[in-house]
Amino acid sequence: MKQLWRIFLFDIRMSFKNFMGAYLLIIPMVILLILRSFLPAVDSSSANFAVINEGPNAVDRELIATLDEIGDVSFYSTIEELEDRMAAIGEIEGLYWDPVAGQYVSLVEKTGEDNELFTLAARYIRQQYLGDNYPELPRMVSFSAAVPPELSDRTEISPVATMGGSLFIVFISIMTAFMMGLAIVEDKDQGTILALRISPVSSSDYYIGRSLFPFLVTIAYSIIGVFMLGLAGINIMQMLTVVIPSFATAMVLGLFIGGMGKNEIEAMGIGKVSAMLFMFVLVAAALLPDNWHWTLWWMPVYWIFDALEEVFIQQADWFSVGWKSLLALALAGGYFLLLRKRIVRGLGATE
Amino acid sequence: MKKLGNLLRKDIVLGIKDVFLLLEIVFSVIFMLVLLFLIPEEIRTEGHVYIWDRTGIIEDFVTDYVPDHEQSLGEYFVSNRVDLIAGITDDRNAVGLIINAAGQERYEVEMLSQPYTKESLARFIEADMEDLMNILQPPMGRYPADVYASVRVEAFQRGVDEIQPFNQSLLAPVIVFNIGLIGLFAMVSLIGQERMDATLRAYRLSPSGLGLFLLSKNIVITGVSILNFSILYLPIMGFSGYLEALSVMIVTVIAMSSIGVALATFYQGPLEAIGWVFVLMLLFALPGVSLLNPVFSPGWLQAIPTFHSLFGLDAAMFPDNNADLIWRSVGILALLSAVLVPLTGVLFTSRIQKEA
Repeated sequence: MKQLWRIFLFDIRMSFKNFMGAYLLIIPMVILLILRSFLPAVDSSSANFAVINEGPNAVDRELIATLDEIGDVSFYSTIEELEDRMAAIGEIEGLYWDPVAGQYVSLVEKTGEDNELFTLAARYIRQQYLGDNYPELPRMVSFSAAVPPELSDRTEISPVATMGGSLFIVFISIMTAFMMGLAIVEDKDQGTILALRISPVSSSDYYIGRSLFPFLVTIAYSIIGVFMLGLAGINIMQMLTVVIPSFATAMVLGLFIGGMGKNEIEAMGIGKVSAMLFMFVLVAAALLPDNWHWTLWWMPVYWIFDALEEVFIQQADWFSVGWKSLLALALAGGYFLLLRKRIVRGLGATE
Repeated sequence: MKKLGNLLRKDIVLGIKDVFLLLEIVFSVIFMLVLLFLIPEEIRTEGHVYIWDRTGIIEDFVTDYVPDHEQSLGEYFVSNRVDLIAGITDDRNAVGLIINAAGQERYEVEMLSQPYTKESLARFIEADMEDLMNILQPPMGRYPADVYASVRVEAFQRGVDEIQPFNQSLLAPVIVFNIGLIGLFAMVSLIGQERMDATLRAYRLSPSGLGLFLLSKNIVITGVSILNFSILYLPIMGFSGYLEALSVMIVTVIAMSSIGVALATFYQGPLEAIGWVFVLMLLFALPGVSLLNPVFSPGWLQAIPTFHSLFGLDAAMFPDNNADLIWRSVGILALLSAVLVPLTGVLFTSRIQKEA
């Protein structure tokens, strides 16, 4: 324990002597700031309208105000400008007044062969016309919207924010794993690992000691991330119950990168494909329907992501958090045991 | 030419010896197999609506006119409240609608939402239901004929099948992140390693220029990328759009390699640069959100190079009338490369010359 503590202090001292300590503190903050400015923009996107608001093709102000309530409206002066915008990337509907035909033109990029009726704007235009010209006709639909009692215990935090939180934590874990792996390769290059063999410090003390600082950074940033991404109100202890064992996955990945990589090129190559695999699993977990999630069960990162999602949407109970965290831990342990011989052999090898 | 040949031979041998080339190829094969055999084609990523239509008006219309409504519209008709609640409980992006008759030409629509469902969605569904009922009210709808004439729907393209197989729609992001970013990682690690091994210092004393040194690495990385791209693309998409997509991918790799050279210029090794590689990876991943959710398409996303890579590839893979998009993407990325390659080359050369 004393050795561990000394290695930890030594590691922190060395980290701040070179750039790595500051680096490990700054980079997650940069990532967090990017996510924090990006996620609300994704969350607020619903529908886009490009409308002409001046000249003979101008759309009625009342209609523009109505469209503004359901989406983002951008303004153009001519039909050519509007069509140019529509030809660009992104899903957007165009709208202008045709003074010759005496009707609105609702323009979409693609639609079915025989669709002459349905666009977002067309619905509002017909109803506005009906209201203006047939005031005697009452509305047909009495509409109400409510959260059913069965879902009332769900959080009001949007799925974009909860997913952003989970992605951030997993992303930081992958990054720290990458850094640990590259640091091990550097240690091998500089002969530190060989020197360890004739010192009283055991290899496990050394690796655990050197992982403590990244571990603390991961924990700290998980908590900071929760507040910065607007997820305050979740059960922090449940989140930590997932994050703490999840670091085992980062450690195994770090040891794998460091052990298998004979030099930094190899380590970068192994790290890159591993990181891609992890990211692929996260994207698949986010996009695939539940009945396809079995295809991802073999990856510890899936269980971490799944458990974090439950915590962030405030649907987690301690049992589910516990078994998913344990399963992620067990899978990470399983992979370590599977690769142990190669990792240990790799840790002793240098070019 | 001979010098370049020698450099190329050295970089290829190093690439094979350091398993970098082999790893990239093996993982491209794995990703290809996963996309081809594991990821299903028929997945919708947009929200679903579970509808219990007790009047039968909407259900009859939709099932008659849109046979694949579950797939194309994401609309599921259920016959009781329990199934509706089960649907929106399982699917966190779904909402439910219960439609009841409430007298002569009157209907009640109850929307069962998630706690985080946006108000704008409820407003839209309200307008949608009012419009649909006015159109479908038996026997001939309620709208007077002139209401229909108040708006004309026009489209750039008609009859286009908008549903792309889910596994194919994932191919563009996989290509950009697995292959497009090879240069970013590879340049940082290859140059960093040569710097650590002092071969870069030794190279300065040789008659070859540093420009040739970078060119050789660029050629090897581009070659590996073309090979990996073909492994991923051909089994999934065939030759449809192959050359166009390859063009987009090549200029992406060159642009990313230049960024890798810039990082390798300022940082001594991969360990120093890796944090920024991750920040860049995250930034480069942001346009992927717009690709999967086209409603989100703010103008500033176009400042990120991978935006053009992703949409250029998408346009090449799923051609309609968007050929100009492919060549615009190639043009923008080629222009970016034309600026970055000499700029980072000059930076790299001057920095290396100054190094002790």
